[in-house]
Amino acid sequence: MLKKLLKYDFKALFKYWWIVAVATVGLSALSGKCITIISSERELPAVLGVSATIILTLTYIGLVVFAVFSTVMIFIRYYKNLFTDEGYLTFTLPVKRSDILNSKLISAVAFEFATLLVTGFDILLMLVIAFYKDIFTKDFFANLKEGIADIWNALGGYILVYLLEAVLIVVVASALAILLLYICITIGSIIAKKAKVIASIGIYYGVSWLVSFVTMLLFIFGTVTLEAKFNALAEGDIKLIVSLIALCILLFMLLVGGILYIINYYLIDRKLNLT
Amino acid sequence: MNVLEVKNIEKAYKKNFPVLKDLNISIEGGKIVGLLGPNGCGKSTLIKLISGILQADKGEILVCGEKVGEKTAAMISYLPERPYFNPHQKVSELLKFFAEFYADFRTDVAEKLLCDLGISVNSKISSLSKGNKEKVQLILVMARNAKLYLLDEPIAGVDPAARDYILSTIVGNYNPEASIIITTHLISDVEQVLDDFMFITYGGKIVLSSNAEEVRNERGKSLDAIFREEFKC
Repeated sequence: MLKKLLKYDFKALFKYWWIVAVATVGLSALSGKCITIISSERELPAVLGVSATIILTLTYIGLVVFAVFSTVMIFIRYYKNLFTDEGYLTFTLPVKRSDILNSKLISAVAFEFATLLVTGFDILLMLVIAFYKDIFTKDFFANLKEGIADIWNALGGYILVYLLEAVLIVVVASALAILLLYICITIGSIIAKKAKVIASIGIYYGVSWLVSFVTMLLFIFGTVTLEAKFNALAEGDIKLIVSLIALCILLFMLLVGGILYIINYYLIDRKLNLT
Repeated sequence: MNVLEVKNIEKAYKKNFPVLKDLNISIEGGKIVGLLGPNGCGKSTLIKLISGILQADKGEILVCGEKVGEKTAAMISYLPERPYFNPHQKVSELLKFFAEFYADFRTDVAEKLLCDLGISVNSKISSLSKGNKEKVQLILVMARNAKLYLLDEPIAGVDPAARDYILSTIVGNYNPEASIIITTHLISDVEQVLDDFMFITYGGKIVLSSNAEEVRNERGKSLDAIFREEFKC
């Protein structure tokens, strides 16, 4: 049943997301051309210069809106599906409550990750179009190969470990941010009789502050207690220490995420109160 | 085996203010049962507990011998008080959704009922009138071959002609081996279709529970008249 829920969640989120994604790609391509025009040494007509500046500004705004839009879509989908009248359908489907939560979480993480990838692609596209003459010189591939070889010589096999850890941290951090958002919506929807969205936003600030405070305390505590242990374990190997720190961050985020997930599941399973 | 067993159920939204207290109900298969009581007496809460939307503070609910959960959700067809649709969906998308999640959903029956009403499957929910939205929801619920139908105030807020349509759709389309629980305070409209009834009062207490026909013959009055006597203010 999780697959079926995922299908509907992906479909609902993709419905408008792709339009905004395509729009940002188009704007980025246009902006790349605008940068070329602005940075050219030729004398430009004023209209062209102003238009290029407007397009560049619009692209910047577009990229910010794209990121906000994805998060807002995820927020709306979760809230409407679970805590408005639609909840009467969602919670009477022959599926486990955990499947409902998992579907919402997986689809949200996938869309946040996709948004990040598209935004990265947008920026890359803009730069490539703007500076392709400087980037794609006849030595481009030789320089690229040399650069990769330098990194490999400096880090060795750690480069793969770092890459894996970086991807995992991005995914888990994204899941953690979404779980934080979800739990605030859940609490806001359960305790507030009216203005549930406003209550959820208020709770979000409170819970975010609490999580940040606890994280900072644990970070200080971890730095003090683990520094000597890491040094002894890694015997001064800085590459290993970096990897261990990343691993600790990952484990910490998984722990916090796990706690948020369990609390959210408990609230949805035991304290749900659809009006 | 009874279709529904409610054993010693308690539910309170606020501490020390139970909506339902020590409630016991047994319903056998093939019956249309009216859960009748004034507003705020806990009828909808009981329905939500049986459907699994709410969790009881104490007690146990069994549907065909199974505790409330994923398995019972597949056996129960639930009509809430308000439409639960996403207004941007089309009727055809809802039919597909129900067919995908409920193995007992009869798409052909739903399509026929929609056709009888003149509602196109290509219509968007937002384009339908309030009455038609309610009818579409009823059709989706009754097109399932469920073991237990929970209909929460199915005729509240609709005109008399629509009430007749709703009641005839309920009687004409349910699985004969299944049971239907109808909650309402509009007793005169539903009593004609009820096999059994329960009068429920504040605190979720059952004050009278019997066969509708027997009580009518015994007291020489309609259920509506008996209800008015029992719940006189």
